Amino acid sequence: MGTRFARFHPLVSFLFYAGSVMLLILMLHPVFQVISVFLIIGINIIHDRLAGLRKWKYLLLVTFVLMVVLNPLFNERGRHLLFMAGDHRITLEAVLYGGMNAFSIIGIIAVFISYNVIMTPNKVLFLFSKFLPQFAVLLMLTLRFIPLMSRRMEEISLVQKSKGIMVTNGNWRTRVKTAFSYVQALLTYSLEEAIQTADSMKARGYGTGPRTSYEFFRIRSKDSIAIVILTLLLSIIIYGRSLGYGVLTIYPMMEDWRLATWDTAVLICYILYLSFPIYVEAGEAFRWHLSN
Amino acid sequence: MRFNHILTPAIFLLLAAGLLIISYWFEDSYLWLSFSLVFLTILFFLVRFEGRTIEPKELVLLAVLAAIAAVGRIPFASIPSVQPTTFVIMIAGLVFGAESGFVIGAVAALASNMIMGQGPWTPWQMVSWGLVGMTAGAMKNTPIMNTKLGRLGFGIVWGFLFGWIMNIWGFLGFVQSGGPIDLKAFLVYIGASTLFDTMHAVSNVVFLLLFGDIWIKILTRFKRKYGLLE
Repeated sequence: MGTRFARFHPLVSFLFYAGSVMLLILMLHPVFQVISVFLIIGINIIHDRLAGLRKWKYLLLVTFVLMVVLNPLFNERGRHLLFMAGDHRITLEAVLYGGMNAFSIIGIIAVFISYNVIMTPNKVLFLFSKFLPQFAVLLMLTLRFIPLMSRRMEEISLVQKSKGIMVTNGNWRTRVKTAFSYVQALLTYSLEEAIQTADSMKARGYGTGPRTSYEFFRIRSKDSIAIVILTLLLSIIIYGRSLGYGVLTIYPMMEDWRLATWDTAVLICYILYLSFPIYVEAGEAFRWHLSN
Repeated sequence: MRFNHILTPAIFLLLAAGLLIISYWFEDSYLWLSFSLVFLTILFFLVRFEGRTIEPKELVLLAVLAAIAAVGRIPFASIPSVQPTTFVIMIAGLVFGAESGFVIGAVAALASNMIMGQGPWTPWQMVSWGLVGMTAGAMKNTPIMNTKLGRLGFGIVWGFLFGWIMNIWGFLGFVQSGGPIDLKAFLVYIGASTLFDTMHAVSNVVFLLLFGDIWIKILTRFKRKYGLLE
């Protein structure tokens, strides 16, 4: 059943993704970012064999190229001149700056692709229901209504078809009109039904006691350990970042891109944090081999 | 209860002010801070929403409207910026008030993205559509929202405003300061999205012209019939 990372408590997964996005925004350093892209691709390979990334590859590529190319076009600041385009200075700083931000953005999008695989709506709702119970019900009802409505839409179109009113008839004007009269029927129909749903909710005692949920996640010892590890790593990295490590200052003066001792320490924590889903999986595979 | 009514906005205002002060110190993390502000806004409305006791009837009604708004996005997914979602949220806010409008907009964005894919854009869409519903609700007693022409104007303005709010995160992600964070670059960036924003505005106008009156009529009738969200 799925990956081992997916079997953790939703809180662990959520913490990991929230922290990863934060790190990708904060740690703007080419070395960090190149490593992070490889790690995130690794995570995506484990989670869905790159199916999601393949679907988004054009958006990712276009975003990346646009950001790398556009920044030097608008930005002439910097001391290291690469070449002149007409009378426009293309500087190393501007190219690096665009590249770093491009890596940051495509990294975040790639993290979200894996998020969509692991954080199923069910888990998100479980988390919401702890903190925002009323909102969680609302969200759950909405999600439930979406497929219900497409089914009702089919019903309505069947009934209308039997009267000879079809979306495929007539010129586009009448078509749009028919389509929207369908939607109107759907609106009134759903609103009336909604009142019924509400009455039945009330009759079954909605709001009279604490709510239970369909899938119950319990924080087990491995979840607590994971939370402690992730929080610890995250705190170290953010502390290091607040002291100025793990970030390449470009303006006003570009620093050396090579890593100082403390930068390397922060980098190690950074790698340990981002590769969490990878070594969790590797540990599982290792144990499987031992047991055989 | 009354205490909470003053305390919650006060706490959130303080937090927002704190964020602004931090942004003064850390000049290179606008993207990060703007995300925090957006999260704070959403959280504020959610906390308010949690503080109210809501009848099941009202809850289900909000869910139906949010679901219709969210469903409307899906068939139009291939045409950029054209969707009836803004229209539905606007009408819902207009009939059921500012707070319900925000909740419907935010839930519609979150729920439809659970189907179409979450991303860093989700909180921004939640806030943008939430604000569409909220402003429509807040202006429901003004002449703007009570005349057809005023509503059309409202739809056009939000067609562009929505795009601009969504541009903010794209723009901040794109430059993150240090680079060209001047007005010129921002205007160029906004200019690039004008085509899509115009399509959004035009689709709002078309939906409002064709179906605005009848939808308001249907929802108002429901509100009166069941005494909902008065």
